[in-house]
Amino acid sequence: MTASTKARGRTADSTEHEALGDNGIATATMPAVTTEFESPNGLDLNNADPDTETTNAQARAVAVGESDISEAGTEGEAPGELDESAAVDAIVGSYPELADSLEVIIPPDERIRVTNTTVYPWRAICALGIIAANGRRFIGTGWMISPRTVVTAGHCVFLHEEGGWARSITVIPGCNDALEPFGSHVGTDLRSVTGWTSSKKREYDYGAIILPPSSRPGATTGTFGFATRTDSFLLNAALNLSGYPGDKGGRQQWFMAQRPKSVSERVITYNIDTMGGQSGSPVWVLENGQRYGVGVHTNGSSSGNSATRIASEVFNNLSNWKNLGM
Amino acid sequence: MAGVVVSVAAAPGEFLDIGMVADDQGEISLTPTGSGDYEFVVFAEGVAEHVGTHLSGAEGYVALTVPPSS
Repeated sequence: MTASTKARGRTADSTEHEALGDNGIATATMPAVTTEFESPNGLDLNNADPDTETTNAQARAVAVGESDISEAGTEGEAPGELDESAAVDAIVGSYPELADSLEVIIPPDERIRVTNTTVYPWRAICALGIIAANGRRFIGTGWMISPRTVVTAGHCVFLHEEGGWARSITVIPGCNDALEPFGSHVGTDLRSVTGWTSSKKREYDYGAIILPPSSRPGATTGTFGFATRTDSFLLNAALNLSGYPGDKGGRQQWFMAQRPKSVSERVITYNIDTMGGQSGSPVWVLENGQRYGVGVHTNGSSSGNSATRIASEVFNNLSNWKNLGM
Repeated sequence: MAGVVVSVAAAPGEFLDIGMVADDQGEISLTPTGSGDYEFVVFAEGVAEHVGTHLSGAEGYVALTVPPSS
């Protein structure tokens, strides 16, 4: 929805630098990192820690950890796995769709359709069909971090205006129009944190779906890693975002990459084009061949779209939820 | 118009980037983010169209009906 000038390709090397703007938000950008663009085609006063995990089943205590930490993902075991050069074909094959999209979104729309969603990492990104507690239906996006754990936005699992915890969420990894190459999986075991469920604070808008033991799509699709990274790293990083926008029907995966506009302690802001349905999308960096989620896309705004940043407390909760879905 | 997918394309302020699916009456629910003009993208039968409306922002929660012509 937002428009801006964007550059693709490897970031240039330079001296690391960081500057803080008003309210401690880092805004300066001096390239100094080694990330790469992908080539696809309010606090609860009764609770001292708003990152305390909450669930539609039971509450859990969570430890607080360090910063700048990583958990690696896997590429999965699905047949037909292709290399990076094959992924480039997705870009080339998608330009007709990109041209079409200029007619239905505020230009310039720089999203690219991922036409082959059976390759990693695209197959680890899932279309979500959400049935709220009151029966209303919504769409979102999620991403696998373990065989049965799907990370998404807090507002995809707990919808304050719709009765709270979702009744159920259908997870479709690698959804591609009518194709569901890795099946469709229904999750009812949901996780978020009290900073979102009780206080509805934007900074705590993240959650997860733990699929039942009979559903292990992440073992086939592969999984994203996730990591905390410093302000200076993120400001200079190539951020990748891919999800299922509603203006394309919610069953096509669309991708875009760009450096962020700014970062704060709990939020990453960027001009990557998104649309309703992309809540929960992974915001990741490709670093030395590994994909690490560094944010969970949640919000749109004319001043910049944004993600909940994977800060250390978020990291710890994701690690816990990852283990629940092993 | 059940099953139509509606997305917020523009609104005053920051909004959740979730997609809304119209119910059997063609309705979606929305929590306004402020007073001003709202733009939606309505996706139905393979076609996306932009629809605009003005909300005062005084409403805590509104239901919008997707017109049959969309």
